[in-house]
Amino acid sequence: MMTEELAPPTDAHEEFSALALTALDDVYRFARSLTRDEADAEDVVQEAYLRAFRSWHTFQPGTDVRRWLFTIARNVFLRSRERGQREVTLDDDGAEAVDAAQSKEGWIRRGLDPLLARTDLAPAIQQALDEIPEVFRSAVVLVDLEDQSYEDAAELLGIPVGTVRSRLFRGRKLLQEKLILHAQDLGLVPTPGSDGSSDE
Amino acid sequence: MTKPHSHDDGAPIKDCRGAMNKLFDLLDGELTPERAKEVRSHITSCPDCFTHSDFEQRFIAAVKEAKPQICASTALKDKLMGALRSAGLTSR
Repeated sequence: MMTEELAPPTDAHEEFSALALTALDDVYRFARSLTRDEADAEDVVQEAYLRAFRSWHTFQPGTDVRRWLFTIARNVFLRSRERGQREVTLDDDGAEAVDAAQSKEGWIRRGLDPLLARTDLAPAIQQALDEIPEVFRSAVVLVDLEDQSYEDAAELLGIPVGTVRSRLFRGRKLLQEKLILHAQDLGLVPTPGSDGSSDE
Repeated sequence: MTKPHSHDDGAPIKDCRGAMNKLFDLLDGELTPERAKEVRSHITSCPDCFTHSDFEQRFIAAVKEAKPQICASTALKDKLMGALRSAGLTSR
């Protein structure tokens, strides 16, 4: 019997509207960070809310409805992207990229210092976020943009806290590497090796 | 004494490597007060770690400030409400 496919009792509808629907902007923003596309994000949001409505009886009153909806939205997103294979591949690619980033950390820090003083950095950071692999982007988005704790992010992503910590670290380092390229474009920092400053 | 969080091995902060390994946990408020004090104590006494910590703190602040100020469009809200009503939602 597929009770989760049925609409909840009528007295739960007001509760769903009052709690779940008020989080719509947050869920949409999270979906945009996952899909990086307006139309895809809208599809994820709609499917996530339909699933949430049908599964409303599984929501634990008193817990964070936003986190519950984020979990459903991410599951919808991952299913649409054939989850397993993609995550393994991206984890591996990300690890290589981070190793490269760590090897030039001092150079990155010196290069990003003038960039961090600028007030118009948000678009560059949003673009850099769009460019890093989803597994790292999700960790950064949840902790830095959505103010989730490591434990809450772990529960939402269905991974151990240590993995959140690791992905967050990698994600931030990848972001820094992307931003240094932006700083180079602005002429704020020379390209690596051009002045012999790429080594610590 | 408060226990360290599950992702903190509780090892004493003996050097720069140990302190920097806990830097993001510190900046993200994920350490116990005792542990945070221990890490902060090293950072404030070490110029290199202080420089690195200051940089990461400003970087994280910049990322937080970059949170997109976007909302679901009226068209999406209307479409969603239509879909939910079709699925049985009766309120609103």
